Amino acid sequence: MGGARRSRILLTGVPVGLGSDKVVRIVEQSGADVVAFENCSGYKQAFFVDEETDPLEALAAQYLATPCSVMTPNTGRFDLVKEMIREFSVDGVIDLTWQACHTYNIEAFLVEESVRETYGIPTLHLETDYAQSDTEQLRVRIEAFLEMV
Amino acid sequence: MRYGGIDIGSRSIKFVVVDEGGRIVQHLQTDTGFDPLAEADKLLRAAAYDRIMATGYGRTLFETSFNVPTVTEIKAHARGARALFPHARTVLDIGGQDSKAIALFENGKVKKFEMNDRCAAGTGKFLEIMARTLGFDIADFGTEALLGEKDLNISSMCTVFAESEVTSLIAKGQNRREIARGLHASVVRRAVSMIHRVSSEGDVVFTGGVAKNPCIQALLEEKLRRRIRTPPDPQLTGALGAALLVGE
Repeated sequence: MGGARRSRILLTGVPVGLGSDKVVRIVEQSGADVVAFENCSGYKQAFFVDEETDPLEALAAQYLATPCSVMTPNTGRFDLVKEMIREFSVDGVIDLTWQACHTYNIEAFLVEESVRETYGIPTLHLETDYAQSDTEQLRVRIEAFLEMV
Repeated sequence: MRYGGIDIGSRSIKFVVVDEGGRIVQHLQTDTGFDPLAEADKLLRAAAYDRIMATGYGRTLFETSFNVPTVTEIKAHARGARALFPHARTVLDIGGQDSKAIALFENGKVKKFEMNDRCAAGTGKFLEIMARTLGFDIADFGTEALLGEKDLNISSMCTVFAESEVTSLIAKGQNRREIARGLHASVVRRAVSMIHRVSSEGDVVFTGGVAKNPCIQALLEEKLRRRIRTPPDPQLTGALGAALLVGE
């Protein structure tokens, strides 16, 4: 890669936090940056509640509209992902699923299709858990993905 | 100018040297053993090359010790397969301890890939262990399995549990060759499902050491219903790809 600018990656899917950030760390070690977090612990949580109507109803409506994969149809997620790809000049998408968060596993197919159709950029779908034991397996996938981007 | 590509795999290390026209001028292979760097070093001393690129699971170790560029085995196998079959769009690589299916764009770049490197099921390791359990030489395992007349269904996906299942079948007096054929079918089932996740049509280039197995080749073509193209030395494909990528 030497000298080339670091690829800009969007992370979608499940929440990551301290102790569960191995994918983000591996991406950074492999020479790219996660510039946008659409995932559950990221921008997905930011929304505007309608302040003109009854507050409890407005909050309830907003919770039901949360773009998480447990809700279907989940078009809000695809819209947010696409908007963030544009706003953050993203080169590639990593779609992370924690094992047993199966609804994200299933939606991954649609995320890849939607991103490919709109922007022609690739998506890497990863399924893992909090353990460190598969770090090298993730690394080879992430490195191969960054070679594609 | 001679370009070298070294593929440090989990089971064996492959080294290929190509000339500027991309033709293979030298190739070497050895077991990885417990000291991959020492084994790789022996191969390099026996070869003549100007520049080198490393791939395979041991590439990072190699990069730090020998200060050479690296490329993932996905890109290396894609490049190698394309060199051998210029219109390749799908590559299946089954190695010692992992397997992967790669879909390529028309221009040869990697479009999508799926890997299994988390367990031995569907890899060369599975076949090695099963050959030993059944008392066959790994070099003859495929030929022997082809002599089995029907697939005995092995229901366990896991290598360890499959071995137990095989022991039970032997105890029931089942035919060794038919068990072998069933085990090969098990590997092929996993490969087929991986291929389907990356591409739905077109020829498949089959690389990696397991591609030498005639029973896997035959069952793969039968179950996938697509043409399987296997190069003469399929295990060298990764190293070949790495060698070609140095010069590019």
